[in-house]
Amino acid sequence: MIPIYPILFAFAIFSIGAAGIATSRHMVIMVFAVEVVLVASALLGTVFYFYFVGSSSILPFLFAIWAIAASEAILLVIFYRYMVRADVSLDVTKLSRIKE
Amino acid sequence: MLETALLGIVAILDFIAIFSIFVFKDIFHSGIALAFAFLFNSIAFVVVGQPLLAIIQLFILIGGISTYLILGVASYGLSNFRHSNRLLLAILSVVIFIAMSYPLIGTTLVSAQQNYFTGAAISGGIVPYVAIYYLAAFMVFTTSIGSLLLLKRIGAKK
Repeated sequence: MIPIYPILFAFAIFSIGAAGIATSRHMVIMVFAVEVVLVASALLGTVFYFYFVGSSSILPFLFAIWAIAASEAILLVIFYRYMVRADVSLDVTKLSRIKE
Repeated sequence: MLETALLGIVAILDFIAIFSIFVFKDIFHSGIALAFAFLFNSIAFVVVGQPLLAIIQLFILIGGISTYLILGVASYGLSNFRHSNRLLLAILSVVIFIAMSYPLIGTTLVSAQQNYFTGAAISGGIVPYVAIYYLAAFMVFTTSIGSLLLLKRIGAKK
């Protein structure tokens, strides 16, 4: 298979994720978009390594990406519970109310 | 040819799942859409010839992260406000995609470009550099411990 298609596929996923971060106002949805970006990065790295290097040395990078995604999910739950308990809106445009 | 067609089908399904994240108003359905996006991305790994990585990604992303997100966030409370500007999302994603892929279109990804992406530093071996394993494990471990402490403090304040 021509490797340019998976690369463009990863680019497209990354683009949607990055645009989702920029255009969303919901904190949880923004974190979901970051997860999409991380998944696109994993796919792109895998395609590059296995088509152009031909080895399995991408595994540490993939584990690092998945670890970042897992850490982000953990932190999301923490922030979410804190915001719900503090009765803070999940709309990021209203987060300045936290200072009040 | 068959693999390319399969990748196209998986890509369409993945795009639908990812766009659904921003279309649904409540985050519970968005979380389920994210899980489906992870699933189709894992299938894409199979299509590009990496079934083992697909299984690992399936276990980590869907078995771990998606379940944690759905149980910890999405099912805890629902918020129903229109959170995403869909038109701006579509336009911006296309613009970013064009900006990223424009240098790639027209090239044939031959050995000249292969050298650009796979210099000696990369192909020299990342596997011996095991510190990144420790870094990843340490990050998850510390985040988990920190989250437990934060949850305890939040619970004590109530």
